[in-house]
Amino acid sequence: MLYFVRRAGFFVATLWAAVTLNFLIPRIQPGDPAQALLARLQGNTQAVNPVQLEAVRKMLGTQDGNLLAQYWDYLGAICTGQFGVSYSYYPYTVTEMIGTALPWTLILVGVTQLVSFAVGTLLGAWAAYRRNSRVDSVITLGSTFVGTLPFFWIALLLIFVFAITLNWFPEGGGYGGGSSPGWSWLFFSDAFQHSVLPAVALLITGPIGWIIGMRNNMVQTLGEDYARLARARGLPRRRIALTYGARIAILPNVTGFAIALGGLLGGTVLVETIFNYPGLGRLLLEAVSNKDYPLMQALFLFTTIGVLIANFLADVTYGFLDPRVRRAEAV
Amino acid sequence: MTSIDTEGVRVTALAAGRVSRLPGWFVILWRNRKCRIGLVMLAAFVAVAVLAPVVAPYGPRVDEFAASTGPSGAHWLGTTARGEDVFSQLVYGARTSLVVGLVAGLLTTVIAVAVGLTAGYLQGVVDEVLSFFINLGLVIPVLPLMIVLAGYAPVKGLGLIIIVITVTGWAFGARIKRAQIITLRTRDYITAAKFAGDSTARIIAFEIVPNMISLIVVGFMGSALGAIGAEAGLAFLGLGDPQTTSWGTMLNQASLGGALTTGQWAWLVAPGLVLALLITSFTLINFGIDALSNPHLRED
Amino acid sequence: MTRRPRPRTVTAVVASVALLLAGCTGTEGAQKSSGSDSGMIDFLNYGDFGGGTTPKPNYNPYLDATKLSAADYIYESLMYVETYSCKALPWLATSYEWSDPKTLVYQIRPGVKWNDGKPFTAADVEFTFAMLKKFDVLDTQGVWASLASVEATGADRVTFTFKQPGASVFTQVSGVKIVPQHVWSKVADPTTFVNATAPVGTGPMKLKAFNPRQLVVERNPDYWQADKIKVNEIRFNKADAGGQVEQLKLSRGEYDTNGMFVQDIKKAYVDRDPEHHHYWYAPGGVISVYMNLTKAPFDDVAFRKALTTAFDDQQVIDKAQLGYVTEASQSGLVVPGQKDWLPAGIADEGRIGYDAAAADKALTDAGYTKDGQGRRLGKDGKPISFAFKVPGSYVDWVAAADILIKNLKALGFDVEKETPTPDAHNQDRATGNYDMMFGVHGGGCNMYANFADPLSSARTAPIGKKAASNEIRWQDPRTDELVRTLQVSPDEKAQKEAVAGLVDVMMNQVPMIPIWYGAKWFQYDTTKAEGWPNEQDPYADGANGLVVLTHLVPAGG
Repeated sequence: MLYFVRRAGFFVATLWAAVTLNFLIPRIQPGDPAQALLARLQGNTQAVNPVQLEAVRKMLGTQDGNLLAQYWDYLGAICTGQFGVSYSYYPYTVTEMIGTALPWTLILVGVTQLVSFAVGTLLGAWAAYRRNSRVDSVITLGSTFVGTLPFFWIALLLIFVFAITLNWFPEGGGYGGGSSPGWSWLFFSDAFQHSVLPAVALLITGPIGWIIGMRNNMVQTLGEDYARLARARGLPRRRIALTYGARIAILPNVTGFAIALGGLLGGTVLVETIFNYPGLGRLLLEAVSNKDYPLMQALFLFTTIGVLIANFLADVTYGFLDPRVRRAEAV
Repeated sequence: MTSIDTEGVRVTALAAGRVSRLPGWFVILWRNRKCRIGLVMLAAFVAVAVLAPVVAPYGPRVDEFAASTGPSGAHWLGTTARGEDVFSQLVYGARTSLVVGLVAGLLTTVIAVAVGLTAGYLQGVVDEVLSFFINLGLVIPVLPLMIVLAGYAPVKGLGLIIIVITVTGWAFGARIKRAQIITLRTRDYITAAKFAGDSTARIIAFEIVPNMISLIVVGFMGSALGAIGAEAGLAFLGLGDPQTTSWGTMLNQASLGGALTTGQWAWLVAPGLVLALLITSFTLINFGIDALSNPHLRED
Repeated sequence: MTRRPRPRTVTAVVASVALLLAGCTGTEGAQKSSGSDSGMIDFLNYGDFGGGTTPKPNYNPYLDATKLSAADYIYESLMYVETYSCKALPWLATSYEWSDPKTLVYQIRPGVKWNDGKPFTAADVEFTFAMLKKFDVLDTQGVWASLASVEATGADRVTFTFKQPGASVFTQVSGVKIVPQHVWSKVADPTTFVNATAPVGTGPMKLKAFNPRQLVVERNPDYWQADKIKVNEIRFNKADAGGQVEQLKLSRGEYDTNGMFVQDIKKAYVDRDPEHHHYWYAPGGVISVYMNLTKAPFDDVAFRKALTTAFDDQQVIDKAQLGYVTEASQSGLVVPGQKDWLPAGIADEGRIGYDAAAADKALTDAGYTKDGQGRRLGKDGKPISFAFKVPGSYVDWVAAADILIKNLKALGFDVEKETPTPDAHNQDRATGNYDMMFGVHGGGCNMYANFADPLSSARTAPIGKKAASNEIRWQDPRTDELVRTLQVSPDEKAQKEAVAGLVDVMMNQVPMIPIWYGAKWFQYDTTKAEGWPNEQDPYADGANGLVVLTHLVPAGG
C-alpha cells in the first residue's frame, strides 16, 4: 500500500513542480506578446505604431505587477481549468484552440504509435526467436541503420520526393482548401491523403525502439533459468518462445508504450512542423514563437500531465503485476 | 539496461593491455570490427572538424557566389540561396556537432554521475530529494521543454543549446547510475573499505567510480549522441543561432531557402547524411563498448 | 547565375501533374477559371488570410492582430487613405470640410446599403465612434486621444470636434472602419465579438465560406460602386506551408496575387511566365542606423553628419536586400511617394551617396583623427570602439549590418557585431542598451506620427526605461516645437512648413541615418485580371486591397 501512496505523492509533487516551472519560464524572459503579434502582421519592414501597440497590449491584458500575486491567480485559474484567452488567437480561448488541434494529433500520432508498437514488437520478437540467423541480423542491423537517420531529414526527403517531385501527395496541411472539416466522405479522403506522408515518416522511425527493446528483453528472458529448464524438459521451441519469452518480455514494452502515448505531444512537434499538420505540436511551436503564454503554458501543462498520468498508471500496473517492485521500493 | 560485469572488464582489459602497449580498453574496442569502423569514422569527423579551414574551400559565411546553384566543380554541393558554398558549410558544421556532442555529453555525464552517485550512495533523505528531481527530470516532456527554453532565451548561441540539452538530458543517466551504485554499494570490497575507515568521498572516487567507468562511457556516448541530434533538431526548427553554422541550421536554411523547389537535392541530402554517418559512428563504437562490458559479445 | 534548363521542364511537368491531381484532392484553388464571358472574373486566388496556423473565424475589424483579411473587404471607412502617395480617397464619405481647425464635417455618401439591405446612415458613424470611446481597446488608432465628440448632424452629415486643431489625426479618424448600429448595438462585448456568421458591412465583398485552409468572399451586388467590381469571388488560401512551398505555388501561377518574400523573384517568379508574372515592391518604413545619442561620440552632431556618407547604401540594397528596395532619403520622408512634402533645394531628394573619402575627411575635420595604426580616435584620444547589434535571425539585416560594419572598420572604427534574439534586440533598443543598431520609423501617411514617433522628446525615456518610440533618445526643443506645430497646424501649408523644418533637422542634425526603405512585398499575375498597381500606375500600393479591387478588370477585356 505504501508503494501506491508514494507513487501518488510523487505524482502530486511533480505536477506542482511542472506547474510552477511553467509559470516561471515565460516570466524570466524578455519579449512582448503584443509586439510579437504586430510583428507577425507586418514583418520588420514597417514601423510599429506605438498607439496600436498600446491598444493591443491593453486588449490582451498582459499582466504586470507582483509575481507572487500572479502566481496565486495562476494556480487558482489552473485548478478551475481556466487557461484564459489565447494571445495569438484572441478572443478564442486556449481550451478552444487545444480542442481544435487535439483530434489531429490524436489520430495521426495515436494510430502511427499503435502500428509502430505492434510492428516493432513483432519484428523484435521474431528477431529474438531466430536469434543469430539472417532474419535477426537483417532486422537488427536494419533498425540500427534506420535509427541513425535524423527524423526530420527523412521527412524532408519524403516531401521532396513524393510531394514536390512526383506530386503524389500534398506537401503538407491536414486537408485541402476545398474540403471543410466535417463528416463528409470528401473530407475524410482528403484528410487521409494529407496524412499519408507524415504517417509514413513516423512509421519509418517509429518501430525502431520497440524492435530493439523487444529483442533484447526476449533474448534475456529466453536465457533465464526457467526457459532453459523448459527447453531441457523438451517443450517445443515455439511454445517456449511464445509462453515464456514473448509474454514476459513484452511487459516493459507495454509500460513503455503507455509512457510513449503520454508523451504524444513531445514527439509531434517535428513531424507537425515539417508537414504543417494542424495538431498540438505545431500549435506549441507557434505559441512559443508568438509569445502566446497562455496557450504555451496550457499545452506544456497538458503534456506534462499526460506523461505523469501515463507514468503513474504504468507504475501502478507494474506494482500489481510484479510484487518484487513493490517490495524493492519499500526497502 | 542489463547489469554490467565491470570487475571482469578491468581484469580482461589489464590482460589485453599487457600484450601490446596500447591501453587495454582500446585494444578490446579495436578488436571489435564494428567498433573499429566506428572509431575510424569518428576520427575522420574529428580530423575534418579540426582541419576545417584547410578542408573547406571557402569560409562558411562567404556569400559572394551565384545563389542557388546546383553541384559543380567550383561548388561540389552547390550554393545556398544567399550564395554561400554548401560544402564549406558542411565541413564547418562538423565542428558544431562535435563540440555540442562533446561539451553537452560531458556536462550531462558529470551531472548524472554526481547526482546518481550521491543519491545512490548516501540514500536516506538526500536520496529522496535527489530521486525526486531525477524523476521530475524524467517525466517533464523533453522536447517541449527544450523548445520553450530555447525559444525564450535572451541570447541565442551554441552555449545556450548546450545548456538546454544538458538541463533536459541529465536525468536519465542519473537514474541508471543510481541503480548501479545501489548494487555496488553492498559489495564486499566496499564494505571492507568502509571498515578500514575510508571517507565516503574516497570510497566513491577510488572504489566505485573505477568500477563504473564503462557504464559512464556508455552514458557519455548516449548523451553526446542525444545532444548532437537535439542540436540538429532545434536548429532545424529555427530555434538555434542562425549565426552558427551547423547541420541543423543548414537543413533549416535548405528547407526555407529553396532547396525543395529549386531541386538542389545535394543541399538537402548532404547535411542529413553526414549527421546520420556521425550518429552511425557513435552507434558502432557503442557496440564495442558493450563488448567491453559484456565478454559474451566480444569478437576476436 | 547559370541555370540549366532541365529543372524548369521538371517543374512544368510537376505543375501539370498538380493540375491533374488537384481534381482528385478537391482543392478548388487549382482549377482555372473559364475566362470572362460576362465581363467578369469568376474568382481570384489571393495569398494568406491571417489568423495563424489554426485560423478561427474572426471578422471583427478592430481586432487588428487576429482578424482575418476578409474583414478588409467587408468593412469600409469614411475616407480611404491609400498608403503609396497618401491620397485620401472619398469612400463612405463623399467629402469633408474643416469648418474650423477643431471641427471636421464629413458628408456621408447617399444610397449606401449594408449588405443585409439596411441603409447606411450618419447614425452608424456616430454609433461606431461612441463604441470606440466606450471600449477603448478597440480604438487601435487612438482617435479618442484627440477627439472631443462625434455627432450625426443631419442624416448625411457627421461632425467631429477635436480637443485641439485636429489636422494631424485626420488620417486616423478617416480610416476608422464603420460598423452597423443595428448589429453591433446588440453585441454585449465588442472586444471579444468574433462576428463569425454573416458579418454585415458596406464593402464590395460578402463572406461566402470559411475553413481553416481557405476563406472565400463573394461579390456584394448591392455595393455602392458595384459597377467597378469585376471580381465575383476572392479565395484566400492559407499559406502556412512555409516559404518554399508557397513560392512553388506562386511560380506555378496558383496565386493571382500575393505579398510574400521571394528569394530570387526574377528567376523564381517572373521568368516562369514573363508575360503575366510581375511584382512591384513599393517602399514601406524607413530603415535607419540608430545611434545611442546619449553616448560619445554619437552625441556629437559633426560625428553623425560625417557618417552620412560612410555607408555603402547601394551595396546594402544590391547584396543584402537583393535589389528589392531603394535608397532612403536622409530627410526621413519616403521618396518618391512623399516627395511633395520635401522643401525646395534638397539635392537628389535627400539621398546621400557613399563617399568614404568624404566621411574620412569630415571625421578628421571634426576632431576624430586616426592614430599611427589607422585606428580612429575619439575626442578623449582613445580608439573608438562600439558594438552593432542586429537580430541574428533577420538574415537580411545581418547581411546589411555586415556591410555597414565593413564600411565603419575601413574608417578605422573598432566595431563588433552582436546578434541577440529579436526580443532581446527590441528590448535593448527600447531601453537604450546599445551603441548602434537598425531601427524602423516613418513611412506612414500621417506626417505627424512619422516624425513625432521617432523624434519627439515626449516619446522617449531615460536610458534603462522603455521608450515609447523615440528609441534614439533625441531631445531637441526645436524638434519638439516643430512636431507640436505639425500636430496642431490647421492646413496643409502650415503642415508643409513644419515638415520642412523637421527635414532640416534630419539633414543637418542627423538624429539617425536612413539606409533603405523596407519593401512591401506584392506579386501579381495578369493571366486572369489586369489593372494591378505598379510603378507606372502607382494609384495605391499592393497592400491597399480594397482600392486595388476597384481597379481590376478581366484580362484582355
